Amino acid sequence: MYSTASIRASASAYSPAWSDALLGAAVCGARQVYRSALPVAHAASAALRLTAGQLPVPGAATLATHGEQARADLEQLVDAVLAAVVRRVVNTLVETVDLTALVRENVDIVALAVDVVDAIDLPEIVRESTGTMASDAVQALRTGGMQADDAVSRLFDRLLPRSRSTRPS
Amino acid sequence: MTPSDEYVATERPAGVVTRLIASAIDIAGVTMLLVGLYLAVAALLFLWSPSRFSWPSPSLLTSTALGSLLAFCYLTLAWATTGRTYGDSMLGLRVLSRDGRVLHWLPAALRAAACVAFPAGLLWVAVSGRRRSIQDVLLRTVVVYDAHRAPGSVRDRGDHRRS
Repeated sequence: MYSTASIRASASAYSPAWSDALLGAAVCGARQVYRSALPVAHAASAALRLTAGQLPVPGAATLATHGEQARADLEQLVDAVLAAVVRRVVNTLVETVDLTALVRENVDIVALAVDVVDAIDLPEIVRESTGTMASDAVQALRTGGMQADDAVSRLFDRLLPRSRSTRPS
Repeated sequence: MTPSDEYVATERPAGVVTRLIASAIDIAGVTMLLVGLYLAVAALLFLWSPSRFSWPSPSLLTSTALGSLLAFCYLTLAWATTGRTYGDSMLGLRVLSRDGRVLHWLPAALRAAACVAFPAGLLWVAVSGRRRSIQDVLLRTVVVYDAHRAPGSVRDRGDHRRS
């Protein structure tokens, strides 16, 4: 149990002036460490790049391989976790929400169906398909008739002596 | 090159089978027209006097004469305007003069009369080396395969007069 006096003492001990001073000291210390470590970090980075890219220094290539493998494993793990989470979320959503009722309440299905049928232009499709069938039948009739004509002509060519010049071309 | 030579070089005469099929389609059409006419007369008789109505029973001679007249009018009209009857259109045929033009009214009427009076003349197409019926020989006409030619590409009678 804190007394009013102890609370006041704590408040005065952690006044903004003191906390700012502590924060400033930490920042200055970090900057000093950063400045001291920067040349070493540059040298190490250059050495690693050279090792991984050009020089056959043992250790760096192995580290790179391990790093690559770890990255691939991590990506695989993230994918699996994401898939599981999404599946779980969707399943929960579908089980929780009545989608059919939701659509029935919020969507004018009849108007939507009318719009779809109007956009499809069903009568035109029926007309086109019927016309195509009739056209195919007529074409088949014409082709068959011409072949029959030729067959009859060949038959009479054999039966009757006719000069070739009188035959149809 | 004479017009006749031009026709021979560009068109192919239709044979007996396609022309028989086209004629059969036309006969069916004329028969339907005749039946329609009969029903129309019957309906008029019924409206005129419903109490004394009885189905008309024309004699065979009357029916034949009426059918022949209908066929004559139908063939003349078709050959003088588009050059093809409905049966010809189905089979892709067209009746033209020897120089490849649509018939005038008089040759069309003469050909129609000859076809109605002596339909068996069509069978001469099978025997003829140039695929001509007796009517074609007498009236100097031809029937050609004309399924793919666009309408209006047939030279009309005005061109014939200018040539």
